[in-house]
Amino acid sequence: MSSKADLRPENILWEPPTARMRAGMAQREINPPIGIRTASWGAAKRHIATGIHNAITTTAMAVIPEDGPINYLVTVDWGWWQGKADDLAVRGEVITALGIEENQLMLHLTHTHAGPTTASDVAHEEGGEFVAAYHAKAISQIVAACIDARDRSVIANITWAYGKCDLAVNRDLPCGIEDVLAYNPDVPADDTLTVGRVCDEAGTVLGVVVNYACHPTTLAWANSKVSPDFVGEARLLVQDQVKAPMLFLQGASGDLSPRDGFSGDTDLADKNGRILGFATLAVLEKMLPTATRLRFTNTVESGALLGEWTQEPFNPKSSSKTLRIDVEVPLQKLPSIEELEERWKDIDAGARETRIRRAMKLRAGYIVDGAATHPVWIWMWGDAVIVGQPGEAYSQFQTELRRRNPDRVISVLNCTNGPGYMYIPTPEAFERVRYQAWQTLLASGALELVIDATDKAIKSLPKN
Amino acid sequence: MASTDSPNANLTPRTVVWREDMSSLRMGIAQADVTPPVGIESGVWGASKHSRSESVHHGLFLTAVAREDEHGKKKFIVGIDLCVLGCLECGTNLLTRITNELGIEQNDLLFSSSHSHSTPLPCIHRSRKDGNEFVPGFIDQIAIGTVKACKEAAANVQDVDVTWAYGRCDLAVNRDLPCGSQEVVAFNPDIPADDTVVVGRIADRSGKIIGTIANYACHPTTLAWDNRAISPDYVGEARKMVQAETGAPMLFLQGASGDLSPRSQYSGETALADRHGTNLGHSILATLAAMQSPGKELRWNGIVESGALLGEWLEAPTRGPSTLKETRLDVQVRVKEMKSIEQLREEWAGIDGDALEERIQRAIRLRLGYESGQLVTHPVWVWQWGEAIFVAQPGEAYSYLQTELRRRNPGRIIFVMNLTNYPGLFYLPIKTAYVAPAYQAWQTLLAPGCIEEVVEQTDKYIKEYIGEKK
Repeated sequence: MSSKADLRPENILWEPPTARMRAGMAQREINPPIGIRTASWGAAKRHIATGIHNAITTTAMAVIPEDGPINYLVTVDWGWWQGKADDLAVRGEVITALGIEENQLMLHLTHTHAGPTTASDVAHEEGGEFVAAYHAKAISQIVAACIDARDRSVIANITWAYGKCDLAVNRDLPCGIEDVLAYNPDVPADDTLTVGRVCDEAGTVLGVVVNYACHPTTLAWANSKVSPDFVGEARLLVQDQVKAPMLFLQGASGDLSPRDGFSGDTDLADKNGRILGFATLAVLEKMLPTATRLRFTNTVESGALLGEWTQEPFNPKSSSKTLRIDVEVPLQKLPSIEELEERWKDIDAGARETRIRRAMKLRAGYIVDGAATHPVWIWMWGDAVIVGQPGEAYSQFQTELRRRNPDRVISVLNCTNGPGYMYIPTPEAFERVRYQAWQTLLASGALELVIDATDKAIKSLPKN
Repeated sequence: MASTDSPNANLTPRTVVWREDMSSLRMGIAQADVTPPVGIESGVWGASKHSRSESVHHGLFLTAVAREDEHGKKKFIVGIDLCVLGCLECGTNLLTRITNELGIEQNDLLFSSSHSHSTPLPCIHRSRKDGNEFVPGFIDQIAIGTVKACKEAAANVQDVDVTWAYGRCDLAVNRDLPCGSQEVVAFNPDIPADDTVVVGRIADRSGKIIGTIANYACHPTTLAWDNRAISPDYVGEARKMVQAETGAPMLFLQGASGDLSPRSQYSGETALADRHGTNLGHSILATLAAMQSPGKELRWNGIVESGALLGEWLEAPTRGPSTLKETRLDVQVRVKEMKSIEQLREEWAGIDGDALEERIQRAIRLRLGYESGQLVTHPVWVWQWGEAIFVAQPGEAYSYLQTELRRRNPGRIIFVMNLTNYPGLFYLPIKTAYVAPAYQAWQTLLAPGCIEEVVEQTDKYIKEYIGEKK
């Protein structure tokens, strides 16, 4: 086979984004008892679980950098924290049990709206009697998963890739002067899917990290089964293929949801899960074998002049760093309880009570002396950056960070740690007085401040 | 469960109905196995030192879709696991035989090769190596299989709801790699590739899927000179996956992939072809999963007062349009100043003997009927089936053909097919490929500007005769 030895492209190496570190993954089921309080939907007439659709799980990833303390990235198939007390009742216990500092843990909720309640103050309500014991069991399983992940940790190589998934649509629908939370066909949605494949040195898949932004609101008031929503079926599909845990991380989905949702049909949640699951599997198939790059080796005279790229082993990037920033954010003028009662006096009493209780719990522990800072955790693993924060940021958070940092693979997480369990909407959402703008305590401009501060922090990270 | 007693009950969006692109048609689909006997000369690689096939990776199939108009007249799209039809003479003979036996006009059939480079050439002139004794039988097998599948598809014709959608697949990369003064056919990391996959789901009136159509642009060149198996390349595994999931045949149509290929290719490992197929298969399945139920649209059902103010869209029955408009455009393109066969022999004198002979044979058969500088006709078939448009032509067009047509007609689902019917089996490169120069520019007989003219004429037809989606 003849070859033109002098013909070479400018760059003869092509490397996928990677990371190399000591890592382990583990998963536990944390199904709640039937009858437990759910309470995600104001429109529901009853708030207790009548069955389990797909398993509620926690998945932990322990990461031990060469020169730093252990970190845990943990995901739980729950919805959201209503306030700091609820968050700390779980996260605080996990931190204590693991004997770590707060910043060594990102505890992330996948944001299902069909999960058991996360509230710790509902013992007096229907189904509330199960909550304390269930939370205690969940905490012990979260801790067990973390310890398991730590104990299983080995030198691991992670391959990262962006893919695309069109499960999510925009959900801010103008209806005359008001916007309603519903599919808006006129605004495109961010379709980015970030996937990390974690392998040991022999190439065995230890786990898969998946970051995608879409409200798990397939199941709604007409559903009474506990479910991780679409995340459940997506995870089952992927895990069935890779034979290892999938750690799902909910992206910045403040304005994104499935097109088909607000349903009582668990088959629909599975259908939505297949969209994400198949898209994730497609991304995994495109990846080169672990710790492998391509080298342009030679040309081949065939019917055409062909060039051969050959796979060869290489050492992925082992650099890592963790940061936490606290971003000063502006607050909007907050209405009193009386003003809220007046605002919602004409709607269904159950829905009104839900809204007011949520508003009050949200403020506690976040607003200090009339001001607030929003925490953001930024973990760099090789070519990848994991950005976690407690709010429900609009997708602009991730699209903008990725646009500004094209040389890194960025996962962006809503619903991670706390406090700050509130929407971070765009200025337009405030102008249109959308739900997200009246749910949040933040004023217009907060999202841009969080983006700028996070971007600055990412740019301060070591270059690979 | 709309909150009809809410003060917000009258809130309504500007558009209260949404649906995907759909068609309501009379269609049938059928598939035939056309795997030739092991031992047949297979593969089209000049670098190959072995021509006789030794095994079958996945079988070769053809899939036929028939559509029937209001007068009972039928037209067909056939996708087949072939590299190309062979030379003009063999290709024309085959298509003539098929259309004669079906009793249809040549323009009633779009016969499209999936472009696997690991299949035999159905050409008695090009196949001259060890194993070519099976080629005439293979040509017969294709003709008989196509007629049988088309007749079966015609017999299966029924009322169907077709849903059309664009999805994404990142199997393909750009394959024009600058290496100093020349371009080499290999992965170019610096140029993004078109990642569009077009999918059609055909369902009967009960909602049962009876077939799927997938159109994706990527050279099936995973398997190359070290492979000795007959194979549809990545198309085989993709089809197998989708068919297993849907329980119905999948028609694969190769897109405008002149500049696109898998990142890892030129391999002897069929497992790599399967990985590529899995990538495409999962992308098609994700696209199918994202579709609404067959024959359904979304209708605004009103607002719901919950923790937030929510809006409900619910599925309701609907039908897509049944418009059928099929034409053939004869686009005038110019033949470039061709080098003589002697000049080509001189130019390639230093390369491997087998590779040289492969190139010369390709060049000789390709230029039959074409002369330097003359204006020739490049046929383009434009078929509108309800809300989908099929644009098919015989060449190996660069992906610009599809990206530009879709950019200019954003509301439209457009399938773009290379390697369909005859004559005109050569590359349609973009102008910059001639400057590079890329392989595709010296392989083609056409002068710079050919693909741009095809885009102009096709776009003009779409705008004048099909128009924007209503």
